[in-house]
Amino acid sequence: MGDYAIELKGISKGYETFQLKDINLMIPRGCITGLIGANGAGKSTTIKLILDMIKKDSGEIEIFGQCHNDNTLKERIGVVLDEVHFPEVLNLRDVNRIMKHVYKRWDEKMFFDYAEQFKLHHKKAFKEYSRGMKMKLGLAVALSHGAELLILDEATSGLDPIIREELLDVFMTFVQDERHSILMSSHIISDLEKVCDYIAFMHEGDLIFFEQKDDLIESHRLYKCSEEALKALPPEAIIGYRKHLYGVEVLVRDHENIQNGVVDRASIEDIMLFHTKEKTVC
Amino acid sequence: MLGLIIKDLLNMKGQYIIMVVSIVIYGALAYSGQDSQMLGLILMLFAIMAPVSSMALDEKAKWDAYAATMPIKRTCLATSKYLLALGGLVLNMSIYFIISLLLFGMSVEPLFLETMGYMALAMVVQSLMVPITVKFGVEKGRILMMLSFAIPFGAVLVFEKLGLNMAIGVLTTGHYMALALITINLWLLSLKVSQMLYLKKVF
Repeated sequence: MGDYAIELKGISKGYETFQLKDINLMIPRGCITGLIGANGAGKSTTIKLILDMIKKDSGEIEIFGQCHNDNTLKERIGVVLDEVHFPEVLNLRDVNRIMKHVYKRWDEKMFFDYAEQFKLHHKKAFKEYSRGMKMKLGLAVALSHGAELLILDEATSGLDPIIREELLDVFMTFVQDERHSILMSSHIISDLEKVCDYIAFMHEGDLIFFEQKDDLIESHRLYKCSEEALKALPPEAIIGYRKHLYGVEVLVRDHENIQNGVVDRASIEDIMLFHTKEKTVC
Repeated sequence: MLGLIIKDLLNMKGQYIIMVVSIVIYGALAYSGQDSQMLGLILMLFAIMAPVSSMALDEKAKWDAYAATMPIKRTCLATSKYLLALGGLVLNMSIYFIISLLLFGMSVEPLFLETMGYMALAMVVQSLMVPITVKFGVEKGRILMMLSFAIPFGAVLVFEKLGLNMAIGVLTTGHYMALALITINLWLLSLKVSQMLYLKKVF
């Protein structure tokens, strides 16, 4: 058994107005990896490439050490996309009838146990489900066929905090089995801060960083100072800065010797935002 | 594959009552006019529409993108539609055969040939419609569907104008066999084309 759930080596994919450029990303097993970035950064494109929903221009993708376009791999992968695409007239029981003939290791009992846990009505048509219920149904399917890898593309978007908390608990329980891994893209950084072990940040088709979450937070500081103090900072420590009416906010990395200013911990959201800001001080 | 067919059958459950009511109405009209062809045509049309209706429902739900994340071969996405089409055709034509035999007092051999004729026409239309719908989607494919409906109606009108019944005509058994082989090969070619289209699809 390899160390990585997913390996992307030199992955490129080009569209008319967008280019995913030479992405190298190794998603470890037994961990939750968060994939963050602005809209159009390439998160969904990366996920679709992993799932062979679109074809790569170059590079290699492996899942569990096997070529990603081996269809049998999908028995081991549970997927929840930003919307759950069941036909609207189907109900929970219909979904079970279908899925037990799709997945070899479909666990009917587990599926109905999750339905019970998520309080999903058995005979209600899919079109009558709320968004939260639809995502829960999608997750119940993803968790009920012996998946070792969950891939979630904005699966918690548009959900209220109570449901999100419920789903995050399910994710944490899932990875208690060290063979299990999760790759989740989300705009809700607070969710990722709660559950993720690793954070990958993408911006305009590039992978900007991929680090352990705790190391990331510990190594960055948000420094509020004057413009003069900004100029005194070593350039290699500056990730980005933002000027305000009364001063400057600077994100610094691996730099403890900060004077004449206020130093705060940087959140993942700060780190993401400042990576897209100016970093050269004029 | 079986999961996909079950999905299609469950997905279309809202249409079964409409189909049954339509069959009863057209059956009654056909019986009152003592013309079984009306019933044959409507049953044939339902069978033709089955795969495209199912694809329309899939398109609405964006099912194909979700199915691409499952351990389902892409070629099966195409094959399941053709199996659904064939199953619907066999079922509908069997209904037509039995009703015509019992209510219209038709003889077995000409009725059998007439039924096979309907099946062949339906398979030809499906052979065109399914890959077009796979390639262009349901909306654009719908226009061609309306045109393709003219084919079976036109064929029946032409036969009637020429004084030829669908079953009794100048065609020999050999001709029927040849037409059957051509129809089956066209249908299989259509399946291959649809499978290739699904293999190239991006989601």
